[in-house]
Amino acid sequence: MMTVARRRSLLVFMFAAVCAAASAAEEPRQLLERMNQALTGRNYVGTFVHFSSGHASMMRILHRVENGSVTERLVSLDGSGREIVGTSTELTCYLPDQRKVLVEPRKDQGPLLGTLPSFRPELLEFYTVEAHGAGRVLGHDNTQLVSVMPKDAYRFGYRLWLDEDTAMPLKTQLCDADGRVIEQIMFTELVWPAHIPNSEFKPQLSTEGFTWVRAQSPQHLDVNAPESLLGRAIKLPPGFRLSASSSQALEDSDRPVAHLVFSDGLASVSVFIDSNDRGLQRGHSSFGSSAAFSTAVDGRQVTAVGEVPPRTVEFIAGSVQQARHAAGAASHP
Amino acid sequence: MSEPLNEQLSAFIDGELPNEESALFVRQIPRDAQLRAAASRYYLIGQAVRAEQPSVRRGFAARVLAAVAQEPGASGAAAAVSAMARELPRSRWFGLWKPAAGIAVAAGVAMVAILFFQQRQGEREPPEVIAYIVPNGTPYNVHLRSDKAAEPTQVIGGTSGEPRSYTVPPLAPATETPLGAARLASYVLAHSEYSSLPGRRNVVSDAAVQDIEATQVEAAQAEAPKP
Repeated sequence: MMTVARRRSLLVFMFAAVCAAASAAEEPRQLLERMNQALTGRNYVGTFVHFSSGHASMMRILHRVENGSVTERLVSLDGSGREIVGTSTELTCYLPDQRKVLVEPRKDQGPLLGTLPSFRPELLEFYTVEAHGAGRVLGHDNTQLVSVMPKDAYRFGYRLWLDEDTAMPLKTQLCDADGRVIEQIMFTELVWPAHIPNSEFKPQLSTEGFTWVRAQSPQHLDVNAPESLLGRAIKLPPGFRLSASSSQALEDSDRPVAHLVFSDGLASVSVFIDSNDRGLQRGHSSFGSSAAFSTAVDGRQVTAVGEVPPRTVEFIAGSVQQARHAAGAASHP
Repeated sequence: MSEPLNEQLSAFIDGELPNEESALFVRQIPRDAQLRAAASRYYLIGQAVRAEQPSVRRGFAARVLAAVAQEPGASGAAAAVSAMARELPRSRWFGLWKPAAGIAVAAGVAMVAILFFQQRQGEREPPEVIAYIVPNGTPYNVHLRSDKAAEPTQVIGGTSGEPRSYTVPPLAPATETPLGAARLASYVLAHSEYSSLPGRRNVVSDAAVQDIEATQVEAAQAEAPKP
């Protein structure tokens, strides 16, 4: 029989252990918050190597915050010579190899380098956030490795090597649930200039003779639109919820395509329901680290796309079919 | 590519190159096509052996062939295999392959080769690629395409005899890109607006560097001058 004193000691010990665990869990999350602030709120110019899909590519990123306005430029330093220039209102992609310029309205103010969302408690149900101590990357001795690893195989995780002083991610790996590296980005040069002149954000190519393609802003889907109803009926992997829905004209579509977005707060999957008659396809595709799965549902092309494992996009696209059949004529437009 | 440069690349990929050397080395990469090709090859082979990507696309095998075809004196698949075999054991990407292959390829990896399968008769498709790992003389076949697993294969290079093999199934059946490349790219770009994390950077980077030969074909058709 345990005595009262022993019970108290045990409770005190357990409380201390819980506090210690909570404190340990706070630290990496604070680091990630600092990383977000650094990526969005300061000037930086860097060169990084991007390993993805069998390619090693060199990219240069410029990010400037001036008078509350953000300007960015991402340049491919080899091969295609493609560039992306972002302002607070527009994103412009220069594709010299295709002699084309794509311009689209910018719907968010997130940096091209991306940030991690704030870690809500429910997110920790599906991811483990841990700090793994200091290391040395790009000449920075005080680099903290933080991992955000998924607890199941429906989503990918990240390993981020953050400079402790500036919280900039000097090296990032995209990993699956077993820790296997899918993609890696490593800065080879990173500076924080106080001022970056406008001339640095001008593309270094002539666009004479290029075709300019200007995308329209997506329209919000009516909550009672068949696709919206469908989005709410789809069975999803644990933690995923419908987070946005719109209707938009894509570059190669005659009619608007319904676009539903499902997210667990970190990973996201888009489902496109396309009624354009261009031949229905079924199967897996990929684009960089994004997986896609297409299927045909009642004469429509349904494609799920996201930076998630292939099984997740297949699961979600397959669920559209089930939900569609379950809803029957009620949801038929 | 010279041996010291090869060693440097290997160390750089693993982040083991001293910082001063890294800075110099990095400046060479954009200027040296051979160096870029070698870096891609290391990454690609690491991916292949991990067999984690179900998206073994048409361009994959073609890129491997194109890369090894640049090796001096290389002719045909056998030369390509030996070229790869020469190069691979020096790569520190082994560190990544071990856990992914799910097998204990510890210290004694004897040889790694990429095997090229003969083209199917009557088809002009690029040959399929199979990664072939021989740890301590025991062969392991890692099939990149599940639908090819049952087909008879021609093994080029490596030791033969031991029948034990290990097939890593992809997470999902692999197919050629069913959607048009332009259509897929437009979906991915539309999705990237909602992708909140470092993944978004990848999407944007991919848009800037992705090999989209098929897109070019479609774009060319779409933009052909009207009579």
